[in-house]
This record gives sequence, C-alpha cells and structure tokens, in this order.
Amino acid sequence: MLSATIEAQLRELRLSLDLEVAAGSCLALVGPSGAGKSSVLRAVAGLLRPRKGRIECDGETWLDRARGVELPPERRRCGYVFQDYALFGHMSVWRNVAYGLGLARGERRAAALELLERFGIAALADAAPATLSGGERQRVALARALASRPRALLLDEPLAALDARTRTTATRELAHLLSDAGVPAILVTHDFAEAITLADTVAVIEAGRIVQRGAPDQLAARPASAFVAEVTGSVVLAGSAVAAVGGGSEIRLDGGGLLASTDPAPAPGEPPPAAGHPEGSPVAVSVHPWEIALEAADSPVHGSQRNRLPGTVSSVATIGSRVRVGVDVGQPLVAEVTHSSRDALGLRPGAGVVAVWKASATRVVPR
Amino acid sequence: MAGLRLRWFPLVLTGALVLALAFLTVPIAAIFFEAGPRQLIDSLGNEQALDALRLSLLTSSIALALILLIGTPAAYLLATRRFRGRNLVITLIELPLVVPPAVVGIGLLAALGPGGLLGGALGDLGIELVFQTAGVVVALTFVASPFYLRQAQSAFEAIDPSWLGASRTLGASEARTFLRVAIPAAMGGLLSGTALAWGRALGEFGATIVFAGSFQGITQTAPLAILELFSSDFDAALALAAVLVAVSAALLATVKLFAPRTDPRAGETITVA
Repeated sequence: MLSATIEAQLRELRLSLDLEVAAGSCLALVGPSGAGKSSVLRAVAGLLRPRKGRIECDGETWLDRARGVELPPERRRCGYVFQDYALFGHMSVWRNVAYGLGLARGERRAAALELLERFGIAALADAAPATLSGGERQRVALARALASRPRALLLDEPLAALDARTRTTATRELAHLLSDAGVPAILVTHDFAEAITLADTVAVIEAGRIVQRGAPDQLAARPASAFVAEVTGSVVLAGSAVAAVGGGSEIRLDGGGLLASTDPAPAPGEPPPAAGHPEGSPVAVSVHPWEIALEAADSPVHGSQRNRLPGTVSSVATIGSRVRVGVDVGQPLVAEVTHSSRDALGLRPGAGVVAVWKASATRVVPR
Repeated sequence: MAGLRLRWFPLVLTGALVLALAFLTVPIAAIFFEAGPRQLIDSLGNEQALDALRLSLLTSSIALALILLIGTPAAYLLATRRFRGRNLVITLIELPLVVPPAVVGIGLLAALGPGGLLGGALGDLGIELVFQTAGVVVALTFVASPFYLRQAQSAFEAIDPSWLGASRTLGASEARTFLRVAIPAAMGGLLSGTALAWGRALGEFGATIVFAGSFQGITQTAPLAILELFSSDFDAALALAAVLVAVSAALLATVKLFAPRTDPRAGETITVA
C-alpha cells in the first residue's frame, strides 16, 4: 500500500492532492500536460521536495514534513520509468539494467541477462541505448526499473514515445507486468484509453488537483465535470438546463438547439443560476462519440432518438474499423460511425447531416 | 540587380575568410619555416630551453590536477543547483578571463606575497610562493581555471536531468550518481575543458613573470624562456616556440576530437570555441 498527501508549489502551479494505491493495483493519473502529473511521481520517488506532505509505503514513512522525516530517493527505491526512458547513454544495455543491482562484480552480468531474457531482448545486451528502437528502449527501461526489486512502480507516459504498432503490443505486455509485479503502481498518461487498459483506478488531474477518481468505466459513464468528460474522450457541449416536465432535463445549447436528457437539471442554487441565465443553470452536456449516429439532412424523424441537431460535416477520418466524423452543429461535435454508414451517407466535408442520439446517453454536468 | 547582388556577396564572404585565415596562420607557419628541422633539433640541446620545457610541463600538470580536483565538483554544483547569488558566483568565476594577466600577477602579490593579505598566515605555515615554482603553479591555476569551469558547467548542464533522477531511484547516492553517471556523461565536455585550460596554462606569461619572476629551472616557463632567448639565441627561441605550437595544436586537436563524441543529446549544448 502506497499513500501520499502532497502539497507543493511549482512555479505557477500549486500541487495539492492525496492518493492511495494498494499493492498489485495501478492508479492512473490522467490530465493535460502541465497539470502536475509528473510532479506527483517525482514527489513520491523523492526527486521533488513537497512543501507539506506525508508519503508512506508498506508502513514505512518516506516523507513526513511535519516530523522532519525525508528519505532520499535511493532509500525509497521506486522503479521509475521516465517519459523518454532516461537510459544512460554512456553504458551498454546490460550495464543500464545492472546499475541498480547490488551484486558482486561477477554476478551482475548474469543477473542483468536473465532480466533482459524475460523481456525478450537478451540479444541487445551489449548494444548502446542510442542504437535501439523506441520499443526496445522501453523494454530496457522497464527491465532496469524492475531489476532492483522496487517497492513501487512509477510510470511516466511509458507508451507515449512508441509508434502506433509497437504500442498495442507494449500496452498488453505492460498490463501483464503490472499484474505480476505485485507492488503499487502509478501511471501517468494523457490518454484515457491507455488508462482504461492498464489501471484499476483513474484519477483525473486538473491544475494540480484531483477533480475526480474512480474506476475507468465509472468515470466515462458519470463524469463529474465537463473537464472530466473531455478527458474521457466525450463530446462536450455548453448550454443551460432547466428541469423537464415528467423528470429529466431540457438543455438549450449556447450555439442554438434544444436537447433532452434523462439526467436531472442541477438543483437551483447549486450552482446558483447566474443573472445572465434566466432560463436555467449553466451546464455542459457530454455524450460519447459512439452514441451519436448520423442521418441524412432530409431523413424523417423516427425511433426513440430524441436529440437531433442539424449540422455540417467538417472532417472525416477513418481509424481502423471506425470513422470519426467532425460535425459543426453550432458547437463542434464528433461522431463515430461505421464504414457502411459513411458510404451510405456520402460523408465528406461540407455535407449536411443530422446528429442523433438518445436522451439516456446524454449526461448533464455542471460547468 | 538581384543576380548581381547574389554574385558579389559570396565573394565578400570568401574574401573575408581568406584574409582572416592568412592572418591567423602565416605567423604560426613562419615559425616552422624559419626554424628548420635541423636547427630545431640542435637548439633542443639548449639547456635553458630544455629546463623551461620541463618546468612548463611540470607546473601546468600540477595546475591542471588542482583545477580538475576542485573545479569538477564546483562546476557540478553550479550546473545542478539553483540558489540565490548563483549568477554573481558565475560572473566572479569568469572574471579572470577578462582581467589582464599582469594585473593578475599584481593581485596575487597583494594577496599571497610576503606583505600581502594572506602572506603573513602563509609565512607562518612556512609556505613561500613568490619567486618559487609553487608560485608558478598558483599563477597558472588562477588564469586557467575559468576555462575549465565554464566548459565543465555547460557539460554538466547538458546532461538530461532525468538521468540523474534515474540513478537516484536505482539506489545510487548523490555522490555515486556524480561519479558513475554525471562525470562519464559529461566526459567529452570535461576533456575539452581540460585541453582548453591546459593550453591557457602553457601559454601563461604575464601573471607568472610578475608573481614568480623568471629564474631558469625554478620559475622560467617556456614562454618566459622564449622572451629571454629572443635577445641572446634567436634560433633557440624559434625552436622552443615551435615546440609550444606543436603542443598547443595537439591540445586543440584533443578538444575537437572529444567534443562531438559525447552523447548526441548532451553534445548539442556543448560549444567549443
């Protein structure tokens, strides 16, 4: 179990949060760059001194500013995988891995080779880091971090430097590794999809604070704010909501258009409706791109899809089996459709369409 | 018009470079033309020249050892820590670069001479520097150290900070990180700084003659001997000059050889004059 309460002033950013990770589980810190994610890892590892805070791991106190306890990084021994891997350029691969091994001179190479074998890169033992591919470097960094039997794993965007093809394999391997390691792990990423695959719990960080935490699917289904909804990859539209007759709410969008949601409108006064919003309280509406279907502009209204917004296609991008379509409905929106509906509708920039989705897929969050 | 401009400007550039190159290389090449191989070997039998060379190598080696021993950790601190007054410290360290060497000699006398600021204390300890070989070492160390400190600082600054962080999380103390990661990673810059400082120490003249004098075998380094031989035995002066040029060229070659050899990432910001 790793628990940390950290308060630090980093130039413009005030970092203030607490977190807890059980042994064998992985917490993902998700948020935009500059939110303070890496600083959390640095503070846990002992590379950054928080102004206030407590960090404990397996019952041992690593940091307690109130009592003046502060273990240096070499005594905390976190397995840290840096964003660009930070392999020592002046050492061969096996020497990088052996660096953290406290063994006698003769045993070091054998021990390093054994680890490299486990990662399938024993053949690279004598290579220089500069000659390796991104995927190979990542494995060396992982092997090195695990070599010294770390008490916690800290991973800073471990997959960001990889190309799309390597990333799929590397993600799967990393998931295995995390479940085998049996120590608390903290993963920093700006990619919510990565967090879903690797982490048990996700904490969304905004400007140095955790704004929501929970299981990944829970966050995606129930974002607490427009910011969290955006991080999870949802479409976020701004508007103002009033309670609808018979439950749920009605939302008037800022750029024009009316939506229905099964979510209640935020209770009046919480937040208080501003003077400029006599019709209701300001909200953000979030909906997953895959919940949105596209129809031809002149198609008849049918079915249970209560929300219909006419708009113009602004972009069409095919990614694997899905097609991401940008639509301007007064505010930008993204729909994920299939190849066949792309072809049937003749989707191309400039085409008129109607974006359609259910009221039950429409989340209303305060703004 | 545009075509004409395109033609004359490259000519100006080329002309400027040719002029600069000729001006800088002709006097040095002339030393070797004037001192033929025959004369060179003959005059190296000159005892005064040999004494001076021996003394130059001895004093500059000791000065360099002192500079490396103290300069390396000092430069590491400047490169890795931010503290109040850091810029002032850096400026003070660079000051000897612009102070005239003769002024340095006067300053050393005022500080370490018998009647100087610290002279009394040194005298009580039985340490005498003026007109002594040790005084030469002090003068060389003073003028040469900024060259090493600057180079070493930028070499350490060029190391990816996450390398140092990685070393710490892998169980290495800060001292071990300095020895095992920082120094090897900055090696190219440290070597070129060493070569620059050594070159400066070998050429040192003004501070040495003011602070330590010019006594054959005791304080007369190669540049001082060249001045003295110049009036008595011009051929010997030329020969000694040729040897100094050869040694300095070898040092410059070392700089050029090692500077680009560092890690590509670390090499980017190391600038060798």
